Amino acid sequence: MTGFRLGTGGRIDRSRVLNFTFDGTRYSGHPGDTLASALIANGVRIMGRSFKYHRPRSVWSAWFDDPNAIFNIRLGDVHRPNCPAATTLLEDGMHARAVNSFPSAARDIKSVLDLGHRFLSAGFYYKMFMWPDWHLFEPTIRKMAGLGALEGGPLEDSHSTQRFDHCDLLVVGGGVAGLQAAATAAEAGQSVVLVDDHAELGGKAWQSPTVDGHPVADWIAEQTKRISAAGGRILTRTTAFGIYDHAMVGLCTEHGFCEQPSLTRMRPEKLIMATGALDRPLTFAQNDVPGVMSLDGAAEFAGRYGVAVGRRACVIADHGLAEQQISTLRDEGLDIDVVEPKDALPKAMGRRAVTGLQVGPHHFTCDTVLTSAGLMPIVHLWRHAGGKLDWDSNAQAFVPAAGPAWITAIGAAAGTFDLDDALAEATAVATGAARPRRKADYCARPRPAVLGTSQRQWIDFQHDVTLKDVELAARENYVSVEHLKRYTTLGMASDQGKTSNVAGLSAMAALQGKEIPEVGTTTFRPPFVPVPLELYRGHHRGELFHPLKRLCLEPQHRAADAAMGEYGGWLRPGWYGGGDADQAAAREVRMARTTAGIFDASPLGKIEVMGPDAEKFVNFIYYNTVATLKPGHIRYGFMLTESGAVYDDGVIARLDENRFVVSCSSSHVDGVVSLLENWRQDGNDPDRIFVHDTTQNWPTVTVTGPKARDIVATLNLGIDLSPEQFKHMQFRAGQFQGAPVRVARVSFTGDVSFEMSCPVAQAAALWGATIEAGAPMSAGAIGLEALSILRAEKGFLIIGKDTDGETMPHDLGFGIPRLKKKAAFVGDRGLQTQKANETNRRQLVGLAVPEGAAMLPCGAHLVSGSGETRRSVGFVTSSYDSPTLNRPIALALLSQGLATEGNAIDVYHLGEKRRARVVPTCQFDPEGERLNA
Amino acid sequence: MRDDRSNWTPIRKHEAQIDGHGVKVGQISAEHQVLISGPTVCAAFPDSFGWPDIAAGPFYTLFVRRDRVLLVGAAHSEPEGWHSETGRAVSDATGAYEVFEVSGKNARSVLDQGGELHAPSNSVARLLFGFGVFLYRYESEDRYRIHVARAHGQALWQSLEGACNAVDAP
Repeated sequence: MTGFRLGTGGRIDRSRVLNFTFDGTRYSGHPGDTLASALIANGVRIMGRSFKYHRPRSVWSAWFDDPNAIFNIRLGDVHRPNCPAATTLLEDGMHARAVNSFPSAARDIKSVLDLGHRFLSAGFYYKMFMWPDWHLFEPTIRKMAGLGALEGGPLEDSHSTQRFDHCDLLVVGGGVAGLQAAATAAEAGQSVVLVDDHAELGGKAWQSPTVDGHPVADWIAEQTKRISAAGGRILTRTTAFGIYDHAMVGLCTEHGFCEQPSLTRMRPEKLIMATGALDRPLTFAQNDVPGVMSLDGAAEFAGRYGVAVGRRACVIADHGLAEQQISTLRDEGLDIDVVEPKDALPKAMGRRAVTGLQVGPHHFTCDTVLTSAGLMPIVHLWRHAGGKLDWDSNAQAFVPAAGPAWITAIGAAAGTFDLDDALAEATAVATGAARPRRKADYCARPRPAVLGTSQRQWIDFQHDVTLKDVELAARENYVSVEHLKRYTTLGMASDQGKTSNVAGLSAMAALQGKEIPEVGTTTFRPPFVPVPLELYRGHHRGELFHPLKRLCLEPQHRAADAAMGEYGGWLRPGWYGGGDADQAAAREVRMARTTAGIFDASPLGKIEVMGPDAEKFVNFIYYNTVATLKPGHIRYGFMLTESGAVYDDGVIARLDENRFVVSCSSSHVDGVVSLLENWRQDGNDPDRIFVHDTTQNWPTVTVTGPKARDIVATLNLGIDLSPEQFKHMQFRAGQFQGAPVRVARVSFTGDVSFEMSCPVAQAAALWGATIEAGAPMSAGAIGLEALSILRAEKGFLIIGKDTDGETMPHDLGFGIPRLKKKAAFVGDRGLQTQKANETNRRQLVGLAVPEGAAMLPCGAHLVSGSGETRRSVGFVTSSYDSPTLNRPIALALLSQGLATEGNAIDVYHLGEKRRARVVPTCQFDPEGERLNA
Repeated sequence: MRDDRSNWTPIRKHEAQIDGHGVKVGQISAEHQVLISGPTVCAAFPDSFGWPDIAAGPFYTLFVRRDRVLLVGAAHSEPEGWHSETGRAVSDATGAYEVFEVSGKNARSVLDQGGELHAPSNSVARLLFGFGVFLYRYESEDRYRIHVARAHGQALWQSLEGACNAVDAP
């Protein structure tokens, strides 16, 4: 293909020159060029290498359907891999390199692979490289696979602006039909947004001098003015890349090579798909030689970019619009022979460039072969939305058929290829009128594949899939379109089969003696064209990627030099005073056991359940019986999943006859609220049960330890704190600085504990007063690390750490409700299954190590047997060095654990074997004297 | 366990403001916020404001769902708890939600980055920047109030900051 720049024409700005390099060689172009058009203008033929055989490739077409010219591009500090040359606008200073080639596309050392093509046909990797071991070959093959390369570090500061938007009518495609529809609809009062992926509107209009009797530029300007004057919006360089659930359309807008694209999530009431049509490649011998390209692509290069793709062309195209395009190209100066192969199989001559076309006994000298087996409507968005396709045998193409009511196809996208017909259709559809009959008759001549030849005929240019590969697939019985695709990799490259799908179906249809539609199509999924991954880096980045919940007392914790970390979705103090975590935690544990620890328990759930059916409801939700709970009392309980596994453990307090407060674990509040709301509406009367999540209305300050009562007493809450009046698992209401305070005697540490919940406005004062009261008694703040140890000493579990997804309450020693609770509850059925009653279930136990031994690793396996018969019977779930007991402690889930107390057990971890003894989970104050003090 | 405190921006002060790019954002103090639920609560508060209504006055109720309103700016006559005579559940939520105000000619453009404001629901409840919020207009078309669970207040603030900075982006 000896392309060259035409003297006039095109939408480029010839007054300015842009310089760039391709594979190290300098070239120049103009604003408005793509890299592909600029290279053709410079006479460059070879712009890429095919994936498998590294055959030389030039562009097939002028826009997104080109599968061949893919570049890694650098501009300044910005590197982008895998940029399609045909859709990347040229900018001054670009350095482009063809992917999959070294040292250049023109001279690729791996082109020798083509010599071995007989051994590298479809599916070769299922049959070769098996001996002695596939894994020997795998690294090399993986290195050779793939396109493009990442250069430089991550783009830390880059992100895309993301917006939600809405309109009455979204028109996709700014060609003639789309412009007409958008203008008509806007003037009819609809809020219209028109999107087009080119920088300049017009679609294929630039291939002709006039539209509807007017110069193209004038006609387009007029429609644009109509749209804007009526309040419509036009977004250029914007691709509608996908339709998602509930009519959401993804729009990607480019802003320049060095700028981030922006994402718009558009929700239109209606959508008009005016996306146009592509040339379907003709399948013939050597149809991949550089210089074989799309007839429409050649017309587009001439009309939009002012570039002639060659000097002397042969054209094989037999459809209704070909004559017009041939005429346009002749007017631009191309010398054209129109060739009719009849039954002969054409063959492109040349290897690095077309030198001629052989058709039977006839040889045509040319440097370019332009082909089209017909126009294919671009129907991807239609299919994303669930629309069906019909095979139009006149057009030899799939066209939109039945589809969702909110989306309509017009113009070439609907199979309306005549310009006048498209204008009439666009006007009618935009106003909701009936679609007029087409006046012009478009048809394409069927050209079935010529099978069984020795010549290589390309179906998929990117993945080097030939007709022989399709024949091979058929011989091996991979005849369904899904198998054909995956066995041959046809349509699986970055072009996703835009140019290969129909050719592949046509070949398989010929092989099976079927019609094309009988073979079927594969699924079209978004994105329609590749979109940059950066598009999805919006505001959910950095701290906002997974934002943690924040405590209202965080300023106080930071002031006290707390080390903060994530605990259950919250940013909480791990330990105080900085320094080593283990030492700080040990210090805080000793303080809590000796005097008292003060910690921020604000994340604990405070979910109110109210209503006349509240009692029945919570009794249904909980595994334990709650109906008998008296006002002012608190009960520990489990919430189960429907399959009987423990979902959450926590406490529930009864405030009065119809009012409960569910205090579930901190990390599960949102899940428990959902669970309560779901069950409230399922099998219950939602007008008699109400769930209010007031967790964040009540910050909680907890004091735990032997001095807890003394500290709380100094706060003058107006509550009798004596053990006789305020027993463990009771609830009282008081006042702090004139505001209400709720005090629960609940303990997670095994020592006397008071959880004081007050309004947000008093939280800082309550915290400060408590800390001040504790200081003279050598009590102080403790963090989550210390709390984890304190609770483990008492054998209190943490859901998800000491339970796995199958642990049931009787595995934890809580078996009575399963046997005795009569009222229905969530998970009951699951507890009665065979699996629930197996004798070898994993049960929660404690583990002790020999004196002087180190603590067990968390996650270590408990094993039985040895050698070949060794198997895991459980694992360590929690493990700490206990400062209270001066020895290691651990909790574990162990098969039949409750029956093996006192037994020794082997522990295995990363090749090391150790010994432990099964002990009760509670290692601190098993009689509960301190708890009930 | 790691000390991650430096990975998280400390919570901003209550009086922090964003002012620029045609938008102002600040936090306001709601003297009272009360959740009231019940099967007839919407009928009992017929003047509740939903979306896209414009609320006004020192106190008002917001339509959250078919059986729930949020009373803003005034205490409710019924104390907290279940009231069988009216069939209402009442909970104080004054500290449960932080309230932000976003105003100015670009206020809508800021919020458009966080969620679909054209959603058909009449409820003030929606997602904004991934957080469950109550969103409504207050006293004018370009003045919005957002109630968000207090623990998400800092993250929502940072989200609004980012959106304000991006409001002029192409």
